[in-house]
Amino acid sequence: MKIKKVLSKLMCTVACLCTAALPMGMLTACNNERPTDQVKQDVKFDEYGKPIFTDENGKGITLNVLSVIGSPDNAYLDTVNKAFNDTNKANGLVANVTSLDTFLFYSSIANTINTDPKNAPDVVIMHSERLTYMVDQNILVPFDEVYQQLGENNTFSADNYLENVISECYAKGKNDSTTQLYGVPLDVHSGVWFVRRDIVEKNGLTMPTNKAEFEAVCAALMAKKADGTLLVRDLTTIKSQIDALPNKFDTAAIEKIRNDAWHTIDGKTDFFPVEMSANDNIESGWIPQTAILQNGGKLANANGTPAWNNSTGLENTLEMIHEWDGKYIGANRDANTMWLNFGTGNAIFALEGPWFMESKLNEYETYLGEGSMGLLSLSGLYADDANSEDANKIYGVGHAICITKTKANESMTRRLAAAMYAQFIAENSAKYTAGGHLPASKLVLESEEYKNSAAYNRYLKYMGKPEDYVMLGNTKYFSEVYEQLKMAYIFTLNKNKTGTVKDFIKECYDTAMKKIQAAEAL
Amino acid sequence: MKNERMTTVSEYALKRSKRIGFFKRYGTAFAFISPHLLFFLAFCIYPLIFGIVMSLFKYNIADPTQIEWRGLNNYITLLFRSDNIYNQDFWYAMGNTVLFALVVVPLSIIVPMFMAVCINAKPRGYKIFRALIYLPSVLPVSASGIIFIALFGHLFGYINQWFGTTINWLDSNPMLAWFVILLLCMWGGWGGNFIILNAALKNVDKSLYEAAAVDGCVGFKRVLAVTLPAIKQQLILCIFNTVIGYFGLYGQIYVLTNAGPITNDTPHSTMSVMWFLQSLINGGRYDIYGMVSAMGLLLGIIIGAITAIQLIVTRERKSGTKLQTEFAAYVKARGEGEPVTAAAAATPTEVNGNE
Repeated sequence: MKIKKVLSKLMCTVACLCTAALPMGMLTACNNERPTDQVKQDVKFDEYGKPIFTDENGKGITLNVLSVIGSPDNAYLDTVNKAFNDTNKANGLVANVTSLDTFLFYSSIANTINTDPKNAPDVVIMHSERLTYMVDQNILVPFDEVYQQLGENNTFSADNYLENVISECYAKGKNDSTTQLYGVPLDVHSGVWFVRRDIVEKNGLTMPTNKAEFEAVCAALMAKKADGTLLVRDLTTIKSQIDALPNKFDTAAIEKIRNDAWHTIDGKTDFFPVEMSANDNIESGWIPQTAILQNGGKLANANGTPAWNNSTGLENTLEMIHEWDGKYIGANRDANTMWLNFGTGNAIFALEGPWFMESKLNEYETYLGEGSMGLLSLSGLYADDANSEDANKIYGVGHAICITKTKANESMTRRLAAAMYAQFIAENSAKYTAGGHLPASKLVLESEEYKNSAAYNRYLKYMGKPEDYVMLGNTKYFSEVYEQLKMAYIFTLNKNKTGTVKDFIKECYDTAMKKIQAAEAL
Repeated sequence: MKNERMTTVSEYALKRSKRIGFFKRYGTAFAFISPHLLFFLAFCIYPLIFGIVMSLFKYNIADPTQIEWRGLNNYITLLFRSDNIYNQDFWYAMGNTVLFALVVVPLSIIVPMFMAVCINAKPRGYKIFRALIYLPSVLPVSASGIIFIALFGHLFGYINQWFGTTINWLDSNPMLAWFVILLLCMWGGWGGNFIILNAALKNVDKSLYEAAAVDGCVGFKRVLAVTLPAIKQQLILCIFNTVIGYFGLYGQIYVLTNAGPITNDTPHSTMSVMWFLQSLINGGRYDIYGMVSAMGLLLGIIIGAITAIQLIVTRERKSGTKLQTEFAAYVKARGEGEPVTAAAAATPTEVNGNE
């Protein structure tokens, strides 16, 4: 009996140990499919020195591309991807793009690489400001060595890309002695002010080009509102009347509807020239960043920590917005009411992502006539000194095409296929730019296809000079530097928050530093 | 010649019958529970153990080969390093969660209980009311959340339009935001408890009410003295489920306030523990998973401790023979006849339960 008891206890202990050892084992050893630093030098070339992507059975390479570019601009990316497939199908190269929401995108990359290597993406199209962190996390592979495989046939050159944009694609991995190129930049973009140009001009005003003019236009509009002389017209009303016309091409009738729609508003109307919200709307991601850059500041220090805590440009701009709250900016607005008020004419300036440019221009020009909606880049709008050399700088966000470190990508042939894909997409992105992005490739910028495109002539040329765009920089603390700066802006417009702008900036900076310290101490 | 002991036929038969007996006795039961057992082991026990192990590391989902041993460091940070932002945010979220649970749990029991008592009285059309009361529970939180946003929206909300008010319910005062969250929790969550309590009330022995009526126990006193003790087990089940459920509060906050509004003290005044854990996971850091696991386990331990306290408080109290013995001694001392023996006195008490 005693032996039986001892045996049963022993079995229990063994069972417990096995249960505990199982996940321990998984933690340390189960990732047999985890990629290593080994690379199979398996690239073969034909007699012309071009790489061969088909095996002895004629089977080619299908690249699995995961993209963070969502609707509506992913449709334009698909066009370029199709062009790549059409060009390279004969060589055995095909790429399939899957788009994923930002929320899921970054965790999915890490998860699939480690838990589902067969379906892990070979190529990712991601926000370039996160590249340094991704490199630090050992998820990406550098391009330099891959392109070198092509020898004399290598046509990739970093000089073909905007220096200010490609700079964000260089990072130093854990095993690197120097910084290396970890991504090919695809584009750069920023928020854009959508302007009811028809209302501005009807009231005898002109489109502003700098901070002082912007404020002057707002003041003039509010003065006219107070006088009861401000003329506005409502898109929705005009739209319903034009749509009800028996003949949609009756230009005289359309013009009459447009002209008859003008009416004055009184002082009681909920009119405010600028649409902004205290919520986490898109302007929080562009205005404070641009304000810092246009006043000679920078966003991140060399060690990646926030550098905006002492920026007078930031402070002045936030002070200005604080002052405008209730004066030029309607109280308690939210993101949902922006297009509504813009359409009725109860707002003149609305900041949104450039991917709305095409659809909004189509809508406003169809119903209100050509030139009824204007576009204004952020260039010069937040500089205290409009003539300073930094005044035209714009905070830019870009996408980079990167190769992931997966088990499948341990084959140099596959890496080469991915690198060639990145180069093709970036250097043939003229059609993609129609989604509201400026190309990062100089070859595209200088191409006739781009310069003669409807997208360039209708709206891209209003986004400011691509050379003026400044990226966040190479910081692995992207989230802390960027998100806390946004929070300073959000606090400025929040009614629950009391204190000075200086207090808000200090609070957000201290939080960012605390988060960095906590992350380092993990 | 080896001196081997031969197995006798009877010994072999006994062993075989034991083996067959084991399968005969447990085989069917095992076959029935094995699908659940398999999923329970795969999706409950394994993740739990994996989570415990993860919490002891700086676990990186981007590169699990480079995980670093941290021992109890994550727990020490959460428990003792009050200058660490994870510690501060975790305990702030925990405080919110506990306070909210303290308010919502009693309401989530009392309101469905009241409705169940009313429905159990079978007023006219009670079947329709019963269906209507349960109906909100059919909706997912995301759908009912959208209904509540339509109701409590600031600029276009129905409540403000109906009453001509301009209250910013969800984005001004945290108490207002908590109130709307509470309403959503109540409205969407009372159905489950209502069904359990309604079924329990139906099964209360009618003879108990008759006996109570004979003793003059009527009205609310009858509810307290008869109904509540009779449905005690179901009440305990409801309390357990509700406490555990609201410690995992996430969906309602995510849909209604996303942990806002901003106040002078915090940008996330309605942050719950689960919302905080989710925000860390969605925050883009790949090496946070060890810390998040430690937070999850601490939450689990706290829920476990509260549940244990509940178990102790609500357990069946068996008084044994102590009271009877004391009563017998009392009777004997007063000389009011033969004292009953302790063993004999114990019998009616056990029959009547925990009096």
